[in-house]
Amino acid sequence: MSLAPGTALRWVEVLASAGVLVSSLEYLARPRALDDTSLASWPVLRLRHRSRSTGVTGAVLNLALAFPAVLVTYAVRAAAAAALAATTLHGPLHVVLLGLVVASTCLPALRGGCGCEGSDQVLMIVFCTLLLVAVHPSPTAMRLGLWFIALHACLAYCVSGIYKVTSRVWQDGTGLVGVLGTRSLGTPSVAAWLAAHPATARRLSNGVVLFETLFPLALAAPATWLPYFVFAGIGFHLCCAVLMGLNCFVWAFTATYPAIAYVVLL
Amino acid sequence: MGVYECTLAALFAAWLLLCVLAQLRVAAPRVAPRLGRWDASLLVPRYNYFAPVPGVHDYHLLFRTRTRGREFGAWQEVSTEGRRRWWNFAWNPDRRCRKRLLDLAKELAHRDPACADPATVLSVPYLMLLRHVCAQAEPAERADIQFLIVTISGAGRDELPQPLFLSRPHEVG
Repeated sequence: MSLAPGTALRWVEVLASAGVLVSSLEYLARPRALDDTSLASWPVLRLRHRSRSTGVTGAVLNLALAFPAVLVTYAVRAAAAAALAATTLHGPLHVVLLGLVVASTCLPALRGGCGCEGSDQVLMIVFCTLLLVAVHPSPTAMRLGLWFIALHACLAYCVSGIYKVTSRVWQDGTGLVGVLGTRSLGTPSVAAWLAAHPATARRLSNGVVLFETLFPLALAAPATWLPYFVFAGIGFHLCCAVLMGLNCFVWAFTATYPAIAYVVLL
Repeated sequence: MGVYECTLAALFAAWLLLCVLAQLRVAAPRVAPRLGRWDASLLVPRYNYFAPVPGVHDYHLLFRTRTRGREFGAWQEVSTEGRRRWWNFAWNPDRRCRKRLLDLAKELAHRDPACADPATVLSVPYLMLLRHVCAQAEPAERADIQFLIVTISGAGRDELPQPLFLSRPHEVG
């Protein structure tokens, strides 16, 4: 069994586009969270860099990033992502839409990075790769792009796992209970149950660490193991979405799985 | 391979190498922090999600006001979070607002927790929070305003909130 590079890239594009669409609509659903008195106030954020507040660059950025113009930028991003998810495109239109998503994904970064999360970073890397491949979509360019995305996903999982391996609070499970105990990124009722069952919390925490650290083995293991890695990954991200509200991570990381599948099934 | 593919291969290899180096805070303590500054560009991320020490606190923003010649009133909380709902596994627009407060609070607390440096009041996170609380206060009651960031431990809900950063009083209005 094998996976054609074009098919794998298309699945990457569909899943990543869904992530960008959800993320953009979430921004648009809370317009006041971007206004001039919000915690993402552009008149204040632009003071971080002189180049962003003065001269021609400042004026251009102001056009796209000031409130309410920034909402138009997010609407364009949502529309481009929806078009990419819905239709298989080729040629200049494909490149333009991917370029629009890349440019508009830079926005939170240009706005100061405040409020950005890991899923934004993964989606940015995936869309930059898709754009570079779409400029000259030869079979070799597609293969290179898929390898790059697969290796990047393995790097992300492995680094996250290794940092947890070295942490005492992740070894004994108290870190997991602590995160889940917060109202902003957790589910306090689940945290309370885990606090009452420390052995389960420790096993669960070690399970997360083991899964993340060993994820790169997906590339080296026999192809018959691929479904286990994929289902474990999907399950892990769904749990994070349900318990921690990290919904965009599901789209961002599962978008890399077709690339991993391509590499494994070579 | 053609010219484009060779260039692409070199670009991907260099990009991946930069990303690997950005993770090596221990092995390459000089290089990694410099690359870490590119975090905000989203192109060279650091992947130590919730590690080595995860954030186990909720952050809350409060403010109080006083009219001239009077004492400060009670602290009032600025809400940055809607309640968590069951559908947040698929749709969670409020999480970025919470993340912004967390980012700003951490930056301020890291920079000058005692708010002793005169330059702190001119920093971006300070100005951002000050502007935000000023917009929340009733115009009629404004004279002096002060904000406070407190943390509440996720593990110990019975514990008292701990003050993280107290601003200076500012005359507004």
